[in-house]
Formats: sequence, C-alpha cells, structure tokens
Amino acid sequence: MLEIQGLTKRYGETVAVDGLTCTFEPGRVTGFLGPNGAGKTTTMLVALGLQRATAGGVRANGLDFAGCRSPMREIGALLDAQAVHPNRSARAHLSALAASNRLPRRRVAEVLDRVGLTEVAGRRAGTFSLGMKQRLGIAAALLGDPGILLLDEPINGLDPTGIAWARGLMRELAGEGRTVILSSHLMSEMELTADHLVVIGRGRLITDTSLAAFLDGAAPAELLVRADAPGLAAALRAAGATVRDRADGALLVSGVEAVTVGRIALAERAVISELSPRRGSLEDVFMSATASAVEFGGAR
Amino acid sequence: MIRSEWIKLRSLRSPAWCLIALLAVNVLFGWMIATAQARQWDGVAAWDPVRASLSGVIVTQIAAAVFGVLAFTTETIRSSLAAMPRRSRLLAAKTLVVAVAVLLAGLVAALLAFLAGQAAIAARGVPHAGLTDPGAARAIAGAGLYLTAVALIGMAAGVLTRSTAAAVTGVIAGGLLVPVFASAMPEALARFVVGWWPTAAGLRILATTPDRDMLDPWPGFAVLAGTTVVLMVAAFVTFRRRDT
Repeated sequence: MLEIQGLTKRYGETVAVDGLTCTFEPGRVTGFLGPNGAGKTTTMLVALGLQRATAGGVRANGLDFAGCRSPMREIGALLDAQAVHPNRSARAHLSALAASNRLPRRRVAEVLDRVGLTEVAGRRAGTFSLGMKQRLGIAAALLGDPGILLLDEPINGLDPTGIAWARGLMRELAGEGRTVILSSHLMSEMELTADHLVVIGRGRLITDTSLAAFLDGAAPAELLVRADAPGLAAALRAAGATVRDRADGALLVSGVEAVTVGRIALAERAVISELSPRRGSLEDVFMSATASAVEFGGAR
Repeated sequence: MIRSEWIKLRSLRSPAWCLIALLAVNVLFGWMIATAQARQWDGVAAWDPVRASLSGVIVTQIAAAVFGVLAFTTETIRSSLAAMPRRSRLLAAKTLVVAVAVLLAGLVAALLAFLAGQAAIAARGVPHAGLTDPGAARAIAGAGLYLTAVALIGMAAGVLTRSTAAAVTGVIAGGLLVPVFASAMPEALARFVVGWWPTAAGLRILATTPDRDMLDPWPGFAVLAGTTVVLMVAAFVTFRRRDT
C-alpha cells in the first residue's frame, strides 16, 4: 500500500503537486493518470525519495522509503527504461542493483527469466531495443520482490506480444497481492489493464475510483440503433430522445431507455437489426474529466 | 554497497582503459622527463633524480581526474537512488572504490616509472637513486596518493557540476593550467600559486631534495589533501540535499 498524504511540491513559483492525498491499495492495478504536467512524475520522484516534498509525504507500507534498509524489497520502480549505462550488460546492471540491497544473487537470474531476457543477459544494454530496455527496467523493479511496483510508462516501445505479456504480468503481480501502480498515457491499454484509477490534474486529485465507475459515471449513456425505417428518427425525437445520424445509417440515441426505443420501433413497425449500449472509451472520459486541467492544450 | 560499486566499475571497459592509459603514460613520461633532465643537468645545480622520474604524474593526473569525474557522471543517478535512497552510503561506497582503484594503479604506475626513469638516468652516467634511498619510497607512495587525491577532486567536481564537460574542464583548468600559467601572473600571486596552489603544493610529495622556497613534502601534500577533503564534504552535502 502506498499512501500519499497532503503532498505538495513547489519548484520556485511553480506548484507541481498541490496537497495531493490518495492511497494506492494492494491487490489491484491502479492506473495513475493525468495530462502532461499534472504532477505524476513528481509524485513518483517524491515517493522514491529522489525529490523532497515541500509539505506532506508518502509512506510505503507504513514506512518512509528513504530510510529503508533494503528499499528494493519495498518499492520496485521503473522510471526511465533508457536509464541504463549503454556499455554495461543487462546481467551486470541487475547484479550491481542487487548487491546494493544485499539481495541474493539468484534473484538476478530469476528476474531475467521472468522478463524473458536470459538469452541476451550478457549483451550490452546499449544494443537493446526500447522494448528490451523496458523488460530490463521491469526486471530491475522486480529484483527485490517488492510489495509495491511503481511503473512509469512501462509499455512504451513494447511490440504487441510484449504489451500482452506486460498486461498479463501486471495482472499477475496484482493477483499476488502487490500494489501495482501503472502510469501511462496509452488509454486503450490502461482500459485493459487497470482495475482502479487515480486521476490528477494540475497537481490535484480529480478522481480516485474504480475503472468501471469512472467509465459509467462520466459518460452519457448512448444507444446504437440500426433499423430499416426512415421514420424512426423522427418518432424517437418526438418521444424526447436526442438522435444523431451516423454516416453508415445507424442512429446514436440518448435520453431514453432501450426499452422505449423498442416500443417506438414496434409502433413504427420498424425491424431493428441492432440495439446496443455504447460506453464512452476511457480516452473520451479521461479527456472530458481533465479538460480543465490540461496545461498544454493546442488550438481546437 | 561497496560490492555494488565494484560491479559497476568492473562491468565497463572504459574505467579499466583509463587506468591502463594512466599507467602507460606515467611510465613513458617518467622515462622521458628523467632522460631530458639528466641530459640537461650541469653537475652543479640541485639534482633530484627521484622527482624527475615521477614527474609524469603532472600529465597522468588528467587521467586520474577524468576517472574520478566519470565514476559519478556516467551514473544513471535516478535508477541508482531509487534502489538505494541512502545517498551518503552510495557516495561513500563510490568514493572508496574510486580511491582504492586509483591508489593501486597509481602505486604500480609510480613504481614502474621510478624504475624506468632511474635506468634512463643511470644510462647517462648521471647520479641516480635506488628504492632504498632516503625519500624514494615516500615519493613513490606519494605519487600514488597524489593521483588518488586528484581522482577524488574529479569525482567531487562531477557531483557538484553534474556535467562531465564542466567537471573535466574545471579540474584540468584548476589543477593543471593555473600552476602552468603562474609565470604570467603578478609576482605576489605567482608566488602564492607556485608555493601554495593545491596541485603545486601536492607535487612536493615527490621531492627528495630540500627547497627553501617551497613547502616540505608532507605539509605540501597536506594542502592538497585538505582541499580534497573540503571538496568532498561539499559534494556529500550537496548530493544529500538536492533534488535529482
């Protein structure tokens, strides 16, 4: 469990994080989202003791991370997959990290195996593709068998097989009772991987809720209706529904229940070939939830 | 922690090459300077064959400084600190590994330079020194200590500037160029630089003949060692406090 309590971080005049309080619970994958400049990275840097909080703080399983004797056993972090010396082999990189925390040497072989890098472990990290570096970064995060995993954009550069693997791994780690914190801008991937979301904007908490509730709560329910009757749209509008025509002839209906659409269609003697609820995608919901917190919005 | 730093150093080729270059250049310059000075000696002026053969460190201190700078600036500091947030321990382990590596390489380099230089001097029929002569062993050990101090100053500069280019430029300008250009300075300043500038004073550890205008060997080296300590303390304090 990672608890953030009243965290504030200022850089001179700029407020990067502004009184943020939230808790990342174990046993689930929590998506940590926010537009650029929202304060996600700063929050993670403070959690890892890389930067000092101006006020408030972060506790990892009740402990202050910076004072831990064997910190990699508490939090495993992937901040930047490129942060590996290009001339050092993957195995040497992991061995040095393991030695700094007095972790047993066998952990190096175990994590290399878990991320599928065993065969290239002796190669210089500079020869790795971004996807391989991500795997190496994930291996480093797993070294201490930590209760908390803090992963910043871990799937950038992974190929489709790699993305599916990473998704499975994160679900598995959460299933083992760990706190998995996943920061990413890839909304479609987040929708498939996360159970819970913490969304921040301009350094403040926007929402802390389950993925399902976030998708339901913010999106207007819409029905996709496909029918052969040209009069149906007018009849629906007459019943108080909002109807939009789609280019392929289908109708997007909101403001009425599905059963009402069915009744009106029956009255109009229209044959319905499709009637399905449409949920907004995480991307849509995220954009509307954070619209006021976007720092670098382009002209629309 | 120390083992971690040792793995980091050992797993790269450049630090090893840096130390091999230090060794080779030190022997080569020791031999060259000893040969040149033996040829020029008029048989009357004060003659210090030990110092002549060890003067290669004036050149090889660049390799030692670069070694120290790179030990810190090539570190992916966020990853390392995310794994080990106790910063003083990390820097202390690095300091120890750098110091031991440079000291060992420096001692070997000094011993070989001494032997090569004395052989060159003897070949010219000029008085030369043996390992057991007074001050010779101290001067050889001193050359190793001198290179170690310069490496640590390099590392402190790396910590303070967080930039390879700035740290290397700073250390070379401060350590090498300031004493070289002393003769172009106003007299009072030149006298201070020649006698008391840390790298100039530190080189007195190589001398085996007294010089009334200069500090004695150990007091001279103490000036360099003191400067090293001050810079390292500044590095530790800065490193502990700053955001990375």
